[in-house]
Amino acid sequence: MYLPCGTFNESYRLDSAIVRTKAHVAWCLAGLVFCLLLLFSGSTYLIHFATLTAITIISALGLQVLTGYAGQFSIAHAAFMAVGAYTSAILTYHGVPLYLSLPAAAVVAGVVGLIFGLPSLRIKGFYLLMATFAAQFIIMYIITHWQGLTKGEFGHPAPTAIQDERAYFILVMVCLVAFTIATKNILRSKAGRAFVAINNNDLAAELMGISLYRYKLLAFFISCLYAGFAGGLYAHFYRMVMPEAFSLHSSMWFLGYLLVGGLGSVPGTYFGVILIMGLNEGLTNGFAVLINIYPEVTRFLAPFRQVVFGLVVILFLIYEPRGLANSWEKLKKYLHLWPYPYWP
Amino acid sequence: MTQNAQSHPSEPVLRTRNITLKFGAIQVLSDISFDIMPNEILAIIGPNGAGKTSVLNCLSGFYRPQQGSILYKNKDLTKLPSHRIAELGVGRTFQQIELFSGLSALDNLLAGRHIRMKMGLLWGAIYFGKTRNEELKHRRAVEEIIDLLEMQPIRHAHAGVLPYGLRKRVELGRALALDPEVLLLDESMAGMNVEEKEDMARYILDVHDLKKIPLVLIEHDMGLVMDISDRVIVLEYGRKIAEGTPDEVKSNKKVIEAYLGS
Ligand SMILES: Nc1ncnc2c1ncn2[C@@H]1O[C@H](COP(=O)(O)OP(=O)(O)OP(=O)(O)O)[C@@H](O)[C@H]1O
Ligand SMILES: [Mg+2]
Repeated sequence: MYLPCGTFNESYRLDSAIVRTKAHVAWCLAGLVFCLLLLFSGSTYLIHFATLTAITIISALGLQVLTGYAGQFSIAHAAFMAVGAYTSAILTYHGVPLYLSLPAAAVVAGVVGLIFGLPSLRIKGFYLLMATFAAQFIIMYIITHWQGLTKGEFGHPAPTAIQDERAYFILVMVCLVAFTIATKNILRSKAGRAFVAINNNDLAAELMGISLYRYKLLAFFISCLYAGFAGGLYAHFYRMVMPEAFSLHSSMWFLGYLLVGGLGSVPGTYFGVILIMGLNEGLTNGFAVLINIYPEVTRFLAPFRQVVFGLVVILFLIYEPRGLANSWEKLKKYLHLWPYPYWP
Repeated sequence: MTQNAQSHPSEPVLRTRNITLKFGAIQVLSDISFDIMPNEILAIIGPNGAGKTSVLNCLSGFYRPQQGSILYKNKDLTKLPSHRIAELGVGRTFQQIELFSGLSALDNLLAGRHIRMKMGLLWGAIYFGKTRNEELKHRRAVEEIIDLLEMQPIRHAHAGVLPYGLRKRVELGRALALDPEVLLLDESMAGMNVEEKEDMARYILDVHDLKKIPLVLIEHDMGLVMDISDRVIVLEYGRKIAEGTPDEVKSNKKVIEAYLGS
């Protein structure tokens, strides 16, 4: 295991701690400073973008537990987010406060996830992916057609008492920190070790006393818990939920974040979401500027935005199949030896 | 541990009765019966394809015999799922190593402690107070195994990239992490050179001295088997052809025929 110079494992407690090195502390501080800078910049645009990114990271962390830790694939993650979004929207619409509606959204999505996780007891890998594909369509079909409850395609209002976007940003950031810590902690818990064991070798896991039945379903439950909570945050961010925000397309992107960032890695989840959402935002802005200067060319090029994304994912799969998290580890090793092997 | 068994030293820990296992038309095991006594080293030997691994697979619930019963702690193991059998304290290793190859040796052992861990998910996500103490307690237990099997240098190495002999050792460590009350070892020393075999035999004897649990081992190296085991069962074509102390088995006519004939 790689540890920088000057960091010693003097007890088992230190060896299994999360914030372990000076660099970890520095990263935490940098994150805090970044959030403060954003708040004081007063830029609504940046705060909006950061809030949306953070919500997406929370949801992606959930998929990380299911796919990265437990090795079960799901292509319905956005649909589970939708369950949470609608639950929280409907509850707050009927006067339930946010601090109750968000946990409720998480639990409802978790239970729905449990139901759609049942096929995982029978099938694995690609076949499971196809089964969750069905979940995506069933859930979204119900949401668009149960108009009495969800108001169908026109969207359902999601009122919130938090009107100030800066306050909302702080709320989302606090949730992000909590979910990040939980995700890290799960990995060194009984359940997390069981997930990883199942992912690595399900036969051996079962013969070590791990109930595949129980832990596969638990992984689905937890994953959808995250998705539901993030869905709730998403709904109140726009104060409105629309079914098309949770399409198959966005479900696929959640897998894309993990592939680009690195399966099973918490920092990788951050990298993946930030890179892809940043790229999307950059391209959108770029096109918006270009269209005023070269309207003809830009209109011709516009469809290629999707191509750029496809290319990014393919290039990652080819050149860095273990994701940005792995590039980061390599960079750390490189910097460790540069320019001198022992750097304070 | 096996307090119950120790108070009645002659009572078997586990009784296998008339096990018959078929895969389609293939008769893999025919009418196998044997007992596992407290604190003994029981060797199962026999030519290739005799059904030794299949016996262990029946014991750990991976194969379901069509007939017969396996009684352990007043339960019939042939009716329990594998993970419940492990929970009852039956640990095992595999002939074809089945490690969590993406994990470090240490994490393999910690995963092996699954059934001894208590904290539920919510506490696990918080990792504070009780949970942290539990994690540290298990870490200590696992470190004792690492010391016992002399795995300190490979603690953080990825299990999948370790050399064969060390992977076998990690697998033994993982089975021990379960705090087994019966330990089943499938060819722990196959494919090793003499020195590695002697090391492994020493580890197995150390484990036996320390844990005072019955060990069931499948082994091909006759010299070794006769040296370390208390009792030997000989299988041939899915049938038990002999059972007894190493000396009794060595002089058994059927056994000599089976080995010379194969
Ligand atoms: N799952 C299975 N399906 C069909 N046949 C099987 C299966 N498992 C084992 N067998 C057959 O049962 C017989 C006994 O196999 P087993 O693996 O128990 O032998 P073994 O004594 O462990 O041999 P070895 O010394 O080679 O490990 C073999 O003929 C094998 O082909
Ligand atoms: Mg075998």
